[in-house]
Amino acid sequence: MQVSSSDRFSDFMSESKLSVYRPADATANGEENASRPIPLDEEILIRKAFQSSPEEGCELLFRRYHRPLCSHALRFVYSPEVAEDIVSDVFCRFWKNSSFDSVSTSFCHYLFRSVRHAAYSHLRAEFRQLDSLESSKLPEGSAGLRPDHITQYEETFNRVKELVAQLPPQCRQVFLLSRFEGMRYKEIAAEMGLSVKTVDTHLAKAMSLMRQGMRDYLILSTGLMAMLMGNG
Amino acid sequence: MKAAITKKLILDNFTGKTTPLQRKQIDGWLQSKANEELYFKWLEEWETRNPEYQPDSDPLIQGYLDYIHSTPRHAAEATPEAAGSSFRAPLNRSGAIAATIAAIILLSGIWLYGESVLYKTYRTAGSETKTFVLNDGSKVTLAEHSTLKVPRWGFVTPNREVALDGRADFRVSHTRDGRKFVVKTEKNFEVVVLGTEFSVLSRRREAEVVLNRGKVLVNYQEGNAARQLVMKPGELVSFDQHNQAVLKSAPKSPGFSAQGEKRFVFEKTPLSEVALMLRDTYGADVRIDSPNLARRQLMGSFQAEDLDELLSTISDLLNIEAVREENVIRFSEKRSQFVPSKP
Repeated sequence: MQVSSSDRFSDFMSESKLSVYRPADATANGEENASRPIPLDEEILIRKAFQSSPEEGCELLFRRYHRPLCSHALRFVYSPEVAEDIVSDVFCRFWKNSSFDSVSTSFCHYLFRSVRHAAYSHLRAEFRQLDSLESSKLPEGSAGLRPDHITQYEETFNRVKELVAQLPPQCRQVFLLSRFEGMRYKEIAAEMGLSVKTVDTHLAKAMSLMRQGMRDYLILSTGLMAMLMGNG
Repeated sequence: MKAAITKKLILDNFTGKTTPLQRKQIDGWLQSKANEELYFKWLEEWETRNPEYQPDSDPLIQGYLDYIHSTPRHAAEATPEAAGSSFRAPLNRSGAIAATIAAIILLSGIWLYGESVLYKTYRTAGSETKTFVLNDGSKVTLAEHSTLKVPRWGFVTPNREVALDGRADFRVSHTRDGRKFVVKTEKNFEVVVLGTEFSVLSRRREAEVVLNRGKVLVNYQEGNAARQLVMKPGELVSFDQHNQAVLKSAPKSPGFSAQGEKRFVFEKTPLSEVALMLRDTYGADVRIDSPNLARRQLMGSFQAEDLDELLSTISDLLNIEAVREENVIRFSEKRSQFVPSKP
């Protein structure tokens, strides 16, 4: 009954070897509607789905928007893990709070807005946390502040990108391996042939440069400066 | 006068190519709800066309559905528009939060659904094979007529455990907290992954483990005794009917002589393993100057026509010397040009 021919077996095994790799699965990622422009009406179907079954509606939304949302969040936080977390969280709350019943904009609008708020807050919380002196001055709950203008989000993530690009090369690589690849110091050290201590130094330097570059930016762009001055 | 706001301008704004004045104009344009809708529609389009990152969403959908089915929802309030609170912890804690969420989901799910909630089952029929990525980023290719059970919505146990019946090929990703990846089988053996890439076959009449890369530990039961063995790359362990393990070297891969495009993929492959590979495929005598060097890792995918091209790429990638004389390849450190500066 269960005769797997040995030829087939070795075929399978050899497919998996590390040495030669045919990029066969490059096309395997189903991307049905990746490149065609989407009329806003597209959401009509999703709205219909919500009328009969919120579960189905949510699933459709997830299938439709999860990818671009993750990509968007990543621009702010520079970590795939965190970006996915943020997006999952938005979707979970979307269900839990039955937000779909109260959304007055398109779902696309709502989801993107939620994700960028969350990503922005994360970014702020992160840079704030790193600077204890500064954070002691910040009023409670200030993490909830958001930019006044929509375009400030674009400014923010483009600023992040710029800052990363401006890091010294080795420093940047350490930063990217740590954030993007989620590698540990030890792994980065091995990868780049550096000592763990040097990796640590690079990372600290990267974070400090990023922090400097972002701090003024985030604070100014949210009008926090005024609050700081008021408090201080 | 009013500036014309075109789609191109908005797209330029996404890529950061606008001036402050233009941004101000866009903000003015955005005062209209309809324009705001348009803006987000274009944003979505732009993200879809120029992704900075493409997650593998498919495996996550099931997780989301499980969440939906196990979480009661509140009636909609006048929702404070979108998220504003700092619900997210700083970077290094986000993993813990995800785990907590997953744990809560699982705990609430168990009561309602039992095993089907805890595990997602991947199945292949007939001659079909399936490749998918697990939540932790590990890649699995499931061979024909096989079943793999994976905890839904992330791995919450101390080890990442999956259960296999049949044949599968694993490329395991490291987690930040260094949790082990364990493949359990019904054949009284399990594979604990210390490294990266391997294949497991476990069927009623045959069972085999082949390790391509990294290091795995095989726990098995022989008679009444629990046994253990550590495999090195290129080794194959097969189990006979009495679950006695036989260790031998795996059938050679068609390797570099294979037809078609010669693409080499390294994913955090230490130089020591590359050396083994070079020895196996080219019969070369490979010498690495220092243990430090042997631990350096290669990452990336590239093409190379022959051994020399491959060596020169390796040398470029790692910024080391790679010298070949006939059958002897020697890797050595370049004299360092980079001296890290103190901050």
